[in-house]
Amino acid sequence: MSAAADLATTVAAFIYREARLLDERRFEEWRDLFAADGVYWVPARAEQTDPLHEVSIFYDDPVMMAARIRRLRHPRMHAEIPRSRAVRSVTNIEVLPAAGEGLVEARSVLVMTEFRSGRQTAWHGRVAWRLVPAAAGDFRIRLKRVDLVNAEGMHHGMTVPF
Amino acid sequence: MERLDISELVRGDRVHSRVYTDPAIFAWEQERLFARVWLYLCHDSQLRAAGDFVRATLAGLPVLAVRQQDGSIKALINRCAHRGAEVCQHESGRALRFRCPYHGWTYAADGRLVGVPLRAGYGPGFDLGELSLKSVPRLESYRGFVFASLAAEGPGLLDYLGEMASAIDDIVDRAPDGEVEAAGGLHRHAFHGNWKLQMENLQDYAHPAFAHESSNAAARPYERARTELDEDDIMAANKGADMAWMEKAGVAAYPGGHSYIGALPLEQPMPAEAEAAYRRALVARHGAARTEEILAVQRHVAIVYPTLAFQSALQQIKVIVPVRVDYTEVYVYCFRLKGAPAEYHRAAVTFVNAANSPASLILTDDLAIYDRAQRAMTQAPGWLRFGCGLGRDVPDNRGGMQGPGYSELAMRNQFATWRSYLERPAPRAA
Repeated sequence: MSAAADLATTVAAFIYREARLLDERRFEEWRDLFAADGVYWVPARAEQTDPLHEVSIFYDDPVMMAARIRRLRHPRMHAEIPRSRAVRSVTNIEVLPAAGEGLVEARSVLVMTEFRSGRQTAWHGRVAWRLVPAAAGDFRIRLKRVDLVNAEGMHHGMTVPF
Repeated sequence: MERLDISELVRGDRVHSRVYTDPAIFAWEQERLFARVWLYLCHDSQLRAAGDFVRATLAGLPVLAVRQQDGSIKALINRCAHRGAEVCQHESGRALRFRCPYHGWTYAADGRLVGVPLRAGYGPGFDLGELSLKSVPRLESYRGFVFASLAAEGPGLLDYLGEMASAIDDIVDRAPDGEVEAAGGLHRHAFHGNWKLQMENLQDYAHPAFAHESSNAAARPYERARTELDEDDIMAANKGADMAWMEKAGVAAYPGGHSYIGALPLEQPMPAEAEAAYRRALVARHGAARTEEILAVQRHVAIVYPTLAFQSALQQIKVIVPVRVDYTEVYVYCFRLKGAPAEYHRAAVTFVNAANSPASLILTDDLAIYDRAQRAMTQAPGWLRFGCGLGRDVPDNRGGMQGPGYSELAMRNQFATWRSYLERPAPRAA
């Protein structure tokens, strides 16, 4: 196999694993996929470029992400009684031309179907990945950006990452 | 319609669940309450040039706030005089004219009908002058915050705001340039519950220890190592706000249904340089003594009854839009203090995300609880109790009443005001 095909395969495997960790609510292992300065970002507006001077749905740096996960483990998180159950389907994975030394950029499409508080909700979005190669076939996430198709929509609350 | 006796539903310390669940009462609220009061429309900074517009909803009516050639603002009802279509579908923008997408009737930015295709078909008596977009009769603004009233007559805006004009002063005075602007975007969320659940929650210091227990537990020990506010700080502040502290924070309630609760022990950790620059800029404008007064105002949330809330020290407002008796939308706007260092705007954005993003670690529990309260009250009607702190309220020196922070004084004040509006029949609209 060519190096490019090799890379595409390992990136896809990484993204599938990331989705499965979230489906299985293995949030701590999911967090460990992020680099020490990694960020999980869900903009509040299509084409948003600035997470610091404009509001976002999620803008989780490692501190914030850790707090979110601690809360998800709390027995009296009222928005999650019963616990959210979700299945994530990842498609349309593309590895972009080399982004820079030691960096891999990729895109994917995400469909997440969630059952929470008696309601089933389908979430759809495009995901942009900025990955740092780690051990062979493994990566750390520098940035995972999820652009929901309904970012500007009227939302009823979200408890788990997409 | 079944006869409604409001005095039977709202008593001193008790309210019947029907006021949250009965569609007939919601219809009364639209015409007796929302159509009479001053409702927040928009901020001046959203309409910079003639033709700039934003959409809003006032007492259920779809409205376009439009900047006029003479600099004034009009609120036009977004319904075509021809066949009832929405004339404008955009959330905001700039327009010379509004052309209805259905049959092309065209209105000027002041609402006058200026173009009708196939006009000859309407015969000789057809008068464009009678077919303007209807406009909201009264608009007034205070320091950049624009309000509208569907009532042709009534108290002026400043009379209406009364003591709670201070919520606007509290945000504007903090800007070294003497102005704020809508900047940093907005959050939108909704819940399957009555609007009053949200207005009560905004003045409720008895709920965080329980409703937000998981958020408080998730907060790391409060520390000042970081230089910018994050969600952890906010939760740690919640956690620090025990009963003794809340008693001290206090609640103050004023005529008209308005009120505020004292601040949480929440600090905005700012880089020392930014804080010093900010203070210098405020002192340059206001002098040292006035600057200290401005920064000493300590409020967590102030509400302008019935549907607006200010978190002035954190540069955000919350606009509540009652849609149906059991469905409410909320818009949260972030503001920028003009003349303040960029760190202050970043802290405001962080805070608005933390407290009011649809994925907030705090808001999501409130939304879940509103939904369940609505369901339970619908399934099991009965009395609700608002007696906490009753008898401990004392007059303050500004024409209001004050009580300990955990008191349900603000809710009692909301319902006393609610009752006074709902007991007065509305004049039938033409």
